[in-house]
Amino acid sequence: MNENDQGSPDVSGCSEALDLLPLRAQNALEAREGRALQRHLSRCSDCAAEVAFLEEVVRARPEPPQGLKVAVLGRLRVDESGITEATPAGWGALVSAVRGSQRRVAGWGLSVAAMVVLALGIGILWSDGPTTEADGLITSVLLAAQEDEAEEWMVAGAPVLDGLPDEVLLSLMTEMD
Amino acid sequence: MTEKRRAATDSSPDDRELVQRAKGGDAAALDLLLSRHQGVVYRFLLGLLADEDAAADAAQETFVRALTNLNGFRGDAAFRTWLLAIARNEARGMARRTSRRKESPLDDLPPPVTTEPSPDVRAVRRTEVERVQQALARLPEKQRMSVSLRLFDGLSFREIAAATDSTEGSARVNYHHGVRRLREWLHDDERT
Ligand SMILES: [Zn+2]
Repeated sequence: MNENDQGSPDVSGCSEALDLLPLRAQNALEAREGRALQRHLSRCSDCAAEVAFLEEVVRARPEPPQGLKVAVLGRLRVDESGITEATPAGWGALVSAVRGSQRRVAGWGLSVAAMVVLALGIGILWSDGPTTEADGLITSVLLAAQEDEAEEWMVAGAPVLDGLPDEVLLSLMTEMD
Repeated sequence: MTEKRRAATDSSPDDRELVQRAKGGDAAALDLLLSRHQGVVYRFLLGLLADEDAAADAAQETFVRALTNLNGFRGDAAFRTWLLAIARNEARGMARRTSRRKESPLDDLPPPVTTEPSPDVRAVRRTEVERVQQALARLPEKQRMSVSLRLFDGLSFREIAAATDSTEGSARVNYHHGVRRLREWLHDDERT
């Protein structure tokens, strides 16, 4: 059993203080624990130096890539029956094609709003009908979009758009200007 | 435990309740579960895989697997502990696939520990955050995991033991050794 789990407010010794330090460094202390620790730190320079050091380490905490949550939600279908993996027609193959080339999740860098604009762009481009292999990809994207509610698809749009070849994305951007 | 702490300091619903609601198709509950745990899962995998892209991919797989199998969560352990167990399997699978592809097992990462950074390395003026992250990467895996889970995510030593397939005592020792080493390295860097 570890002392922190009991939330002991009585911090008299260094070992108790040292166990609370990590929690203080991430602001997870209850107020009374914080006050008790503060009292200890005010009269123990060793622990005060330690807390300064731990806070330095905590500032280097790595954060998950921004697109992680959106990417996960994009692969899920949520309804009254619970949560299942979203697999609209033509989507599975696309996902596996994309997953191979997909790198940094953070690298998607597309906001949902930007995806909506891109989706509109795809619609405009597609009005001439699919001709090339790249257009075929776009068709699959659109089919998936049409079969799903728009909101679901926009989330799912992140990996799909990321998987499109650069020249296709570029032409979509140009088309929209 | 941290979940009790959270309940004491704010009024947001606990994991158990969110899991129940998510099972019933509550998208907001699902969203909250993801927001709450994406950090610890990502950092846990980053500690194991020592690669940001691999950690992001594995985190995505972990959540898809966990959230589509919420019935497999019995509720006798904390939701976070259950998630980290799935993440660990995911990391193992990924390490196996990677080592099959390129003969270099991920166990070899991070780069070998040297007590003294080379003069070249010291000459480079790094930001504080980079220095700390590089020092963390140099720690042996068990120490790195204990320091990260404890300092970055506030896990108890018992939870760390469960997540790293270790005992509470070794988790504690690994944490203290890890922090001591970090302090030595970072302070050595500063003095030069
Ligand atoms: Zn002290």
